[in-house]
Amino acid sequence: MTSNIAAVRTRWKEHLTGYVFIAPWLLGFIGFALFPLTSSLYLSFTEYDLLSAPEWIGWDNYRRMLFEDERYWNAVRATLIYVAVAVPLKLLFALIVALILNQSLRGIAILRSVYYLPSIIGGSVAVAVMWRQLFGMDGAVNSFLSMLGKTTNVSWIMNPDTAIYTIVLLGVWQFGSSMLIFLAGLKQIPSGLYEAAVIDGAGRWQQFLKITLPQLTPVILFNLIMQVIAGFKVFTEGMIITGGGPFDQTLFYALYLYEKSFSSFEMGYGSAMAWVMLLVVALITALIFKSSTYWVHYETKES
Amino acid sequence: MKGIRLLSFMLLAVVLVISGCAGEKGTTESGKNAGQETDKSTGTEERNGVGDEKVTIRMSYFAGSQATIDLTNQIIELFMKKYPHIFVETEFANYESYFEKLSVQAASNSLPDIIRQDYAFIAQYAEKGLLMPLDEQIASGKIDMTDVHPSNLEGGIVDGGMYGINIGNNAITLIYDPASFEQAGVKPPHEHWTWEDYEQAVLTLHEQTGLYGDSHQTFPSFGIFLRQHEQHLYNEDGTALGYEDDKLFIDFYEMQMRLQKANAISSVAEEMESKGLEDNVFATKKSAMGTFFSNNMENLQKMRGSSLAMSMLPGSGEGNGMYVKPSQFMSIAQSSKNPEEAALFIDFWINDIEANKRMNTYFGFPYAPKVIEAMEPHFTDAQKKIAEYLETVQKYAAPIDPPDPNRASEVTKLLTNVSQEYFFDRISVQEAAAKFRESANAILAKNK
Repeated sequence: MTSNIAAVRTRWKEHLTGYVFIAPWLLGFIGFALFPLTSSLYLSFTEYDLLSAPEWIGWDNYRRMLFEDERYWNAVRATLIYVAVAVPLKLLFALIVALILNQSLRGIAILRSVYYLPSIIGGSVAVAVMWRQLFGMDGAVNSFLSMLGKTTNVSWIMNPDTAIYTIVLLGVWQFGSSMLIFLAGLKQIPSGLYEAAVIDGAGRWQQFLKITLPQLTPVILFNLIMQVIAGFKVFTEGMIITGGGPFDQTLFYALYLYEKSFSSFEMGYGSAMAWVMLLVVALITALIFKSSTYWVHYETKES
Repeated sequence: MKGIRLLSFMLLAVVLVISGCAGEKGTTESGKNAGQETDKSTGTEERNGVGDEKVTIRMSYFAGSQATIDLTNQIIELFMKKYPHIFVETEFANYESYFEKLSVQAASNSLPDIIRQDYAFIAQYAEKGLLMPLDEQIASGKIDMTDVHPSNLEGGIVDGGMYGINIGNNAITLIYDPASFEQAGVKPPHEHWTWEDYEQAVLTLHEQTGLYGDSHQTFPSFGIFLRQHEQHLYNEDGTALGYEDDKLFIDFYEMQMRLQKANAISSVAEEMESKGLEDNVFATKKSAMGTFFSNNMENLQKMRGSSLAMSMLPGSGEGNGMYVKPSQFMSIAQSSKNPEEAALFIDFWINDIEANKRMNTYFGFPYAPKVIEAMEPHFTDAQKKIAEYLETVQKYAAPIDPPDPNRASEVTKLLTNVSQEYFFDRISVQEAAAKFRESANAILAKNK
């Protein structure tokens, strides 16, 4: 009996040691993740302007959002366009650059760093300002066009037809992190496969299609998911370059969420928007995972 | 082994402590200013034997630049010199995060004693009972408003009570370059200028000088246009739009469309690209006129490097359109434990001659007659023009609309969006008018 209690006690002691060791993380998780998350879920069912106590209104926020708010759907539209255009383009671009940088050339390490640079500085305010200088009415792009004899005074960033695509371009330009991951993936492909293919007389294009691409699919899946999630969260670029304008053409979801929460002080509505976003992103991620069984190639599964 | 473990623990501790310190220092620098020099000066005066217990009051404000912060600190220094028994602690943030922070403080019942308020938010705060009515303080002369024209104070009135003291005046104005008018042979604006005169002038200016005549008129101008027709943007209780007839909307925006089609005003895209006063179309000399608040006059003259002139918006000669706008307010929190000292501070800000000389109209134009009298001999060229302009406005002004209702920021955003859709030729002006009415009413209906 006593030995039993002692055993429980030692086990408890062991557990406690474990918990003490992870305490910093645990406290952080409870305080900075779990608590805000649950309270935002609660707030999404309330009307809360920070000045007076939250007031329970049931599904009202969700109803207003989905059925009455035109600007909400503007935001959904802008975000979907961004994700649908920017993510594939970015991955394609990252893959192409990764393939080029995978050669063994002199000074390749420097080139790799240089191509990674936009990712480091891409989300910053300064670059957003630079983008305005490039695509503005008196910007570099227009100067270049007029040099080619096509004088135009379109403001690419403020024209409702082109505004969102200048931001897409900025997103694509920040291809560095995907590129690095692709590069790592390319290095993992056994060179024996290529040697065998060369012996069998396969050309470069065939090698790419039959070896590189299938071998790379797990990495593509990873990059795709990361970029889709990042794409849904696009904020800074819209905030600084266009401010959501012209007439909500670049009002990204996160931007509208921010506007609702912090300039109209509708915290409940903002929380509801955040939860819908979370669910949609989770759903899309799940779908991508599901689809992966059809196109992602795992070495271990086949053997 | 043990030695290494101990060492690593110590290292960790050191790192934590250092980062902790750095964090603390960071917040004091950005968020709070206890004012070290001021501390010293009051300290010495205390020794001179003011028997009272020292009172600390907190004051918060929004600041867009270091200049605002420096100037505010200087004024506080003057105040603490005059009233050594009071210590003023300040908190500041830029405009957007200021109101974010303020609402969090309101939620946690820790509002500062003196709150800087804006016309867009004061009604909301007053209605929630967060601000203290100041009528008594004014009646008793603690906040001295003798000889002050009531039009300077009515902006701070919510539901009959005075909740914020105007810290300086502003008014919307057309600022123009008289040289361009002369070059184009157009008679410069005068007090009885009409919108027809304006349209013609903009067209001629463009034809004769190749410059833009003006930019698109935006939200505050539309409000003034409505007032000129004895209508208002919001109804009295802020639950719907205040004007009945969409013809006003249509007239106002169609005129601008005509000017836009003639290329006589800058394009919407060009205006949207500008992010501040510096790259504004008028400041960069691409247009002959622009609509601003009167306090921008000094900067605009500097930026353009030439002498400019000010005029009321067209159609204001009938005396319904224009108004004098309080630049910012100072309010006292309902929860304040030291309302007496807070009132003293507000009084000092408005009436102290030395303080106002130091501010030099930075926070809006002073309105206390004694202060103006003392400052007048030192006015710069731009300040003289502003003073003269504000007098003209006061002559033709009608009382200012009550402070914006809740959700007004959403309505102005909507107006911007709808008018842009029209200017980019996506919808007709009738559709724009109807869309604005419908959506704005839906937004404002939530205030019921």
